[in-house]
Amino acid sequence: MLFEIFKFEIKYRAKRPETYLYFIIVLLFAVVAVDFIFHGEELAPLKRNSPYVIARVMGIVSALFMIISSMIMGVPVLRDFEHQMESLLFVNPIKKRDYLLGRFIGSFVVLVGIYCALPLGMMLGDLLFWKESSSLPFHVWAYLQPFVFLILPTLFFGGSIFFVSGALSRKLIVVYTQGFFFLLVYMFAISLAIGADDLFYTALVEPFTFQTLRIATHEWSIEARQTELIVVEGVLLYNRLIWSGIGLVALLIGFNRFQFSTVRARKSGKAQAYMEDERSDQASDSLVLPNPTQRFDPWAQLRQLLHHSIFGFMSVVREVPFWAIVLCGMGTLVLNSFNLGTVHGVNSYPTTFILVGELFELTVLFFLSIIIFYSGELIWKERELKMSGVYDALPMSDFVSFAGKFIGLMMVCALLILTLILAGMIFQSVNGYFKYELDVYLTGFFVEIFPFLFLLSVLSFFFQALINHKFLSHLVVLIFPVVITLPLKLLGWDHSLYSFGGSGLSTYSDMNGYGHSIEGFVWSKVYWISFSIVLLVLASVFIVRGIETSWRTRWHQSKSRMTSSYVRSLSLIMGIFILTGGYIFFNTNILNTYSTSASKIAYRADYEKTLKPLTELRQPTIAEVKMELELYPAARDFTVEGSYLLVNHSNSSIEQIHIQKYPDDQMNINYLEFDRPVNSDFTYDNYGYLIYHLENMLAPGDSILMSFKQTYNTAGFTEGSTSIVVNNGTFLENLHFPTLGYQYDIELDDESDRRTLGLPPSTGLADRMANSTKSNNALSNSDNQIKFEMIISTDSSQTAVTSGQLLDQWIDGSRSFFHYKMNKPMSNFYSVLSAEYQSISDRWSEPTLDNSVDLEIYYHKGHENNLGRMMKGMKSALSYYSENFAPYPYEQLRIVESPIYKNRAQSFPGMISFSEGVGFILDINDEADVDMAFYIAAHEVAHQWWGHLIHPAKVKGMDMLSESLAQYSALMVLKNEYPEEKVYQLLNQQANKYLKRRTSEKSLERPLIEVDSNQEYIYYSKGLVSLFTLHDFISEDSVNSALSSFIKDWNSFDGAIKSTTDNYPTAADLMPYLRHVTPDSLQHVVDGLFETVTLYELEGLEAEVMDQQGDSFEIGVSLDLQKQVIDSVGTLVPALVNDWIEIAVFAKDIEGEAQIIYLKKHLLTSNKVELSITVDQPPYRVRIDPFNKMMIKNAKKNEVRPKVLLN
Amino acid sequence: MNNLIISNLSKTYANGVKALDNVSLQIPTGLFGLLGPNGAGKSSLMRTLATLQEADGGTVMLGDTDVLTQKNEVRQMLGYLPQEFGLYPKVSAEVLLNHLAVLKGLIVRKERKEIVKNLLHKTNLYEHRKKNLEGYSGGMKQRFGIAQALLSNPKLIIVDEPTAGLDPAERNRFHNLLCELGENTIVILSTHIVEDVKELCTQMAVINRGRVLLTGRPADAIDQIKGKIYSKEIAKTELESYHKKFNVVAERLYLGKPIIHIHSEIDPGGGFKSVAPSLEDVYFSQIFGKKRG
Repeated sequence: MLFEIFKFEIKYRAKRPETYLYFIIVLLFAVVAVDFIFHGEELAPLKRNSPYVIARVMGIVSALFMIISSMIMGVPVLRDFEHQMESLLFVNPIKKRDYLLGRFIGSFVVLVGIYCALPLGMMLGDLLFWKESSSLPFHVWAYLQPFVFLILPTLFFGGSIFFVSGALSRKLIVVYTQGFFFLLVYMFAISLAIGADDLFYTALVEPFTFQTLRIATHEWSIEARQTELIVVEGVLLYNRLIWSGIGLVALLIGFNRFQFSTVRARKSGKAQAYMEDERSDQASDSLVLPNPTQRFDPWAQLRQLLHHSIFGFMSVVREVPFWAIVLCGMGTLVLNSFNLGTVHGVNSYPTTFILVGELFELTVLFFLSIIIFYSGELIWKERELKMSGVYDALPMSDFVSFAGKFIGLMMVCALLILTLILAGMIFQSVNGYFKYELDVYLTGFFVEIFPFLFLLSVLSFFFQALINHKFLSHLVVLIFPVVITLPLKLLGWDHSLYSFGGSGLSTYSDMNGYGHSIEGFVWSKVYWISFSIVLLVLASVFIVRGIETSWRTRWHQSKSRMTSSYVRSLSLIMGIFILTGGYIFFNTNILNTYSTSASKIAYRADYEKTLKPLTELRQPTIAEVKMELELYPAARDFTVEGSYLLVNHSNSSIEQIHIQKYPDDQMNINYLEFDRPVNSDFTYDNYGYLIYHLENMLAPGDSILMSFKQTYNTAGFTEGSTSIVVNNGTFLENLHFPTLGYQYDIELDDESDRRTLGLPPSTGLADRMANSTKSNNALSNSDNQIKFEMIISTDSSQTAVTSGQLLDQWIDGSRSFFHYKMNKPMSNFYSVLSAEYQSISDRWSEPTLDNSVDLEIYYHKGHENNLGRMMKGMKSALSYYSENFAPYPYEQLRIVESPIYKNRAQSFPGMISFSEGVGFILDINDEADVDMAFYIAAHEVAHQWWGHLIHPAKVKGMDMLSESLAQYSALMVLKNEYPEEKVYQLLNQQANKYLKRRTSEKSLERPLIEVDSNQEYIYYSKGLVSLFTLHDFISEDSVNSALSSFIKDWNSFDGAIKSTTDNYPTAADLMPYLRHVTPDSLQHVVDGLFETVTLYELEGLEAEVMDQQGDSFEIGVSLDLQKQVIDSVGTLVPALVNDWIEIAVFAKDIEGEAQIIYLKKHLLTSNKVELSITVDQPPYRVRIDPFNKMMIKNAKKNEVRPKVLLN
Repeated sequence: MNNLIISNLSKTYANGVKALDNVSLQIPTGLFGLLGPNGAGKSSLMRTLATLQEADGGTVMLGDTDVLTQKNEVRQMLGYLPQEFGLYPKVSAEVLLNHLAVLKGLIVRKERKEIVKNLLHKTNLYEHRKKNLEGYSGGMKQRFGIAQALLSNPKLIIVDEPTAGLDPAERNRFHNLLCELGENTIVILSTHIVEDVKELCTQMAVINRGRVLLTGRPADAIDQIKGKIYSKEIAKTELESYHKKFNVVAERLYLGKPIIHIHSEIDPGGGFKSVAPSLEDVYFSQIFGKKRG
């Protein structure tokens, strides 16, 4: 019997067209899956067919297509009830076991059959279309192995749960809603993955294994990930066992609970018919029915539409599943704490804009689910209730009928949004933040987000109407964005006129609001919404009304359904669509120039191919900059007129001068002249690259004056908005003005783009030993120190700030003028900021010298909270660095707030730009948090030394000299001003950050002195801890004296060594200074911290109290410490332990707080060590490396409570 | 009032079944009974008239309105009660009736309220108007269906098997209501219960297998077979041989013994007695008569 039922199920499925459709959908998706999933995330250096990539892609696809599992597995039992077959079926002599098992196995076999398309499609994709010479040899097992061991368990547990819930509830809606449960579990796992320190549990609970895979293989070298099959062991095995177990348990429960009978105990009341009054309504017989007026004029139709919309809205809101989804959504809000722009563990104030982003980000999947799900429900409602006979014969126009449901759904979205706004305001109030900014809530949600929901709903309605199959339409709506965007993405076409939905809005900035991006945004939304209304109207004409479902009949019907009023409104909307499209085109392509991202990439590649050879020609350097800059923030224009004094610092004469205009079509050079005769060469004019041949060569040491005028004009709006000049918060940098020679910034950095366009792989920073590039420094190509003077005029409501002393300031009409001049040479690295600033000022004087520095902070009104902390940071930093490193060279130091578009702080000579998102809105709680406003200020001030006194050479290890040293310096300042525990708190954070981020390193983890520019986790986090640890070993004074000597020798002003060479210092040049102050016995510590990647893992730790005599306790500690070093290809090689390691013993004080009673470094000389420690209080805990100075992995296992053997 | 004129209406389904085969009918004001066995094409015809189904050929005119193409105009005049229908479970009768009224163009609030109230009284649902429809019994649902069909004071009322599921008292009330409406409206009533047509209809048509077999006044139809119906009480075992010999139009049991009615132009003798024909005999003689050829 079981076999019969099994056969029936297979036969049934084999006859259904959906079965094949699902197979084809999975197959087609699988072919492009690697490219779709890894498009944003760079795949390199892994090959697209490496076992690791295949396994992860399969995991992700299995998660995406969970909906197919639910459609196959949820319905087999349900189907019998839906078709009211159960009475016929259950009277037959079938055993419950046979029935359930037969149905389950049958469906599961079908499901597995459908999913076979996944490995098949991926193989096809790899073999047919994407065959690259660089890909790995093809191995069938690499596809089958993850399918069998990873995907089958996923299918099993998903299938079991769907099957059981379908069988028990006998309601389709339940099968559906548990999709959301999965979503919840999944999102929970993701949020754990982001938030958790211990990734083991994340790896354990993630149901689809693609996170688990990443975590399980993070120790693997690139080679291993490239070639080795994913072995199901360790956490991966446990994960699969747990989830298969869950599936099994679900099946058992379902088996027990399933009632093999038709009548189920029903809750009384609801389903029972009302008791009828036998007496008939006496009065009614004589009632004469009135003759009401029927109206079908436009006004009446509008009333109908409104009424119908509200009815649809109510019908959704009354549904239990709707509230289940909403609750799930709210659950995610509660489970996931808001990411409030956290900087090093400190939250920002819950400003409205941050909350809008977070609220939507956390709930977007629920919005999508509600839209996709309820568009189907609303459209199919009457037909499913068999009410369509009544409904379809109503004298309501097709459009009112269709649009009413659509508007109802939009009302649901609006209601949800209002709920979210309320939730946001409650959250703000709870956190003591009362600046609600309702306007920001409303624009954020209704202007920015709502159109997106609107368009998606239109798509969903459109497909439901046309395809006329509920599930299939759901799937199509899910797949459609992929199908439509992938080819465009691959082609690199991105104009908002054909990218469905159009352009997005730029980030909201407190300073600049939505700025100028709102104009293009609104037009593109008008364009797409009118397009989508056309879709709606068409859908309403083609939707099934009555019983005719064939396409031929519907096509035929549409002609008569398309009445003249439809044609009129359609032409009106088409008119709007075409006109707005024309207007957008006029703005983006005629007033401005548009190029596709593909052509931009091609342009950059050509730039490199054509012009890189020209870097061989030595160029003069800028010695003096004088400019008059007129800013027009309202019009978003500027004009700059000025001069550069160019000096030939090389040993040979220079014949040509190469000038690069900033590559932006809005930027124009009006003139560019030299004070001696030149011949212009416009060969590379299309790159904005101009060559001037000097009639008389520029001799070594000789100089030439270049004067120029450049304008930047904004007309209309562009595709993809630029944020150079904005209404409030203009941020110009030196690279926006004419630059000398080839600009490395223009080069492509995306590896796959480089490969496709035939460029050699960019290796990141040049090798440390490459002498040719050591003469380039971090900030600019090959510029020396410059003299700098600038007069800036801007709108009188704004203040313009740049480097240098403010010599003069005046107002002329509606314009404000600012005259800045730097009194000392500075790096050729400056910026200009202009906005409606408030400011505070202070002064810092060096105690010993009569040197004083004017301190200023320019900030946006409303961002006053952390000004004191920043000011204190500047002062303390200036004191510490001047005393320990070298004197501060300038007479002023400013912090200037910049808009959020570039969300970071940057140090320019005597001036620090500080994004509004970085320090100004941090909500610092001195009890719990490290004062990050103070710390970041100190860090940026440190760059005045590590960046502006010392210019690191542009080679690997560059960022150790700038960022790691700035981190260390700032930490020392923090240590001076704050309690020690804050220092350890920060160290702990950074150590964990390093250990966690290194697991997602895609290429090779390098030691600090060879760190590459994209390895922030190394030069910020590990650099900080390593330098701190060194200071811990050899003392603060020793480190500082090394740094101070390093500056003396290598600073760009008068460095003893620097003045003898063109080369800039590398991290390797710093090492001798550090080694010099390190005793011989500790030289190996320097090796471990800076020159190798050394990792420690505590395998075992035990402690017991061996002996107690009076107040003396002897603790025996045995530990097993593994040490590994990463070799040059990324493999972990075990290394011998010969390290000093700190051990702390804690005791409980009278209040029960743990207090350190013992803290000492022990030299361990082998992996397994037994130690004996004597303390004078009862020990409470023993902790190895208590302050994470060694950055031991599994930091949580480094603490034990000593066992007490004696009583 | 205009007549509803159906000419040569045909419809063949995708599976080859001929639902309507050259149907031509003239339906005047008054109650028109559409009689036929299950699957005869009654519902197909009614759905076509109710704008829910396309025809392959033929025309349907209601006065100047072309029913097949001017669907919206027809829907504005239409009251339709489908054979089998469901209702939104989670709303009350009053709310749904009000909703449907708006969708039928009853925009004036006061008038709408009044007709909704009257109809709820008429269909004896007033007492339960606040209750959710999911708890309604079959009969109550049917009465609700009738109420919604009458909302807009329709000029064309199409009711498909309306009395199925009603108890005798309800059925009576409904018939009264239909009669009342039939005084100045076209009411098309499909049924397979001959009794209903006999009691109510001024005009009728018998259709089977998509074809109109007979059309006219019920009394005229009966007149046509006057004197041609004979009856006899027979034994069960003889049934088959009688079927072969005669045109048996009806057989029923009387005290456990079969009584058969046959249609015959001449007196068959052999114990057959001439009886006064009923509408049922007309119906069966049409259906079985044609079958035999």
